[in-house]
Amino acid sequence: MKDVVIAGAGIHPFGRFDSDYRDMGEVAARGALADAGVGLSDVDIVLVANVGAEMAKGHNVVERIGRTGVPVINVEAACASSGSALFMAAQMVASGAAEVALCIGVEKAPRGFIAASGFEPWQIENGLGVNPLYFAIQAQELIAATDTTVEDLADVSVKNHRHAVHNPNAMYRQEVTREQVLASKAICPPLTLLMLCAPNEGAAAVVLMSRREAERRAVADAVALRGIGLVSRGPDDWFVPAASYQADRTSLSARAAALALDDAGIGIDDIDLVECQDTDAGSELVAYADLGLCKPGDEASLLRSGATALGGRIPVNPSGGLLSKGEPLGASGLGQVHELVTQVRGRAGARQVEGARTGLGHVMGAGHNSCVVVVQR
Amino acid sequence: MTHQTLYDDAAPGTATVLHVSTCDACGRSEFPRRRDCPACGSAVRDDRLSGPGRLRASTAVLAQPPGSRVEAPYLAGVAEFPGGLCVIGLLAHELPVGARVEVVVHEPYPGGRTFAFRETDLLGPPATC
Repeated sequence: MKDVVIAGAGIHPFGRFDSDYRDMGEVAARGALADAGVGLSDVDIVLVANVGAEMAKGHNVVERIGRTGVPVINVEAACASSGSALFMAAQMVASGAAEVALCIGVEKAPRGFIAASGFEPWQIENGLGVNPLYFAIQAQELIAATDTTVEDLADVSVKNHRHAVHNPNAMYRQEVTREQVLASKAICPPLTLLMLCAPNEGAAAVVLMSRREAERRAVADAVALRGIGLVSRGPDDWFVPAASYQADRTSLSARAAALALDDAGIGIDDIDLVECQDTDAGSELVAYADLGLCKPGDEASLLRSGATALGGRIPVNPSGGLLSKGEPLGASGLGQVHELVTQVRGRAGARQVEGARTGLGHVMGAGHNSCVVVVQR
Repeated sequence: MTHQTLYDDAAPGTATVLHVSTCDACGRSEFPRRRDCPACGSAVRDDRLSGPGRLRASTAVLAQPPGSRVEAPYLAGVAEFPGGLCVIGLLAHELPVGARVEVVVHEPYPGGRTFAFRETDLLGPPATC
């Protein structure tokens, strides 16, 4: 990705609120515009990621800010929605089709299990249309294939909750113990309630610019969008809602990561911090190998070594991850980008990753989507 | 495809077969059946998968999912069949990972019908893992 920068980032905290999705989207969008030092009138195109709101949701958010007549496009790809919107915005800026693009992710998801994940009626009726079942299968397979234990799964949650204590944008900011995680309500063994993220509400936004435009406007603190990779289901991938898969399955995340790193022209060893899709504790461990942070089989060792905790070699989810922030589906990916931008600018306060210069964000969504993004100061 | 059949219907408790499609070109099987191979685009033939398979994952759903007519708690898992196709389904009874399983017609709620996996003594070709 040549010469595309994140000129500004904004966020509405993730949690439960009385406000409408429009209100949350507006807060994040205005935050990103102000951070970039531009107004809506400077924006050439707006991309809005959301899963569950209503028709023309992006238009309804933008209406709160202004009527400039530029295109507003809604993007939906489940939990990878805002990654997909960012991908399109980045391509438009890189191609010269837009000089300034505003990218907003927003969600007001109901409590509990996510309905309408794309399962067929026979799966839903017969109790197989339930996302945590899929994550439990993935976690069981990880436990069967590696030395990962249920205690390791709990420790992912412990780590991420410890990080979130320092994140004012997270929903859960209390530390939890391994015992508390293991003793929380069992949902789909081996996964307990505190090993699963809660679908919730929130918004995040970024303003992308060509480097030339950012220089012309003398944008302070621009962060390079160095690489982005977006993939959907290949022959041997498996995720929600597929009823079957091949024993030797492949990883969407690994392909997205390879594309993003190749686009950035760097290797995984150049990454200082990662925000990954910890929909459940097992998914974070699976992502370790998929993203290349360790070899397959070494996921639990990497966790136990402390490398992925704040202060470690390659902190993962210093924001607290989705396990602590909750997951507003359409906003989660841009929430990660907001965290990465905050970190590489050195403004993350008590959760600052020391010397952070290059960060990687990773989302994965139902219907088989994954997006990986690399940003660099 | 207006009506998709997933298995041979019979009285609950009867051993049955899953309706899958198998690609002659790349060898992959798909469940549910497909019109052509989603992996390589080649023509497929209708196939019937009886197993036995090997239980690859064994879990349960302990909280009530939206839209489910099966009342939680209930058991679910993944059976891996010879050739490598792994199918997610209900378990007819509690089973450990590694158990040798067959496909059976199952009544998951009063009047409901679906397939499930149950333990079998039948010997079949060994599963791939």
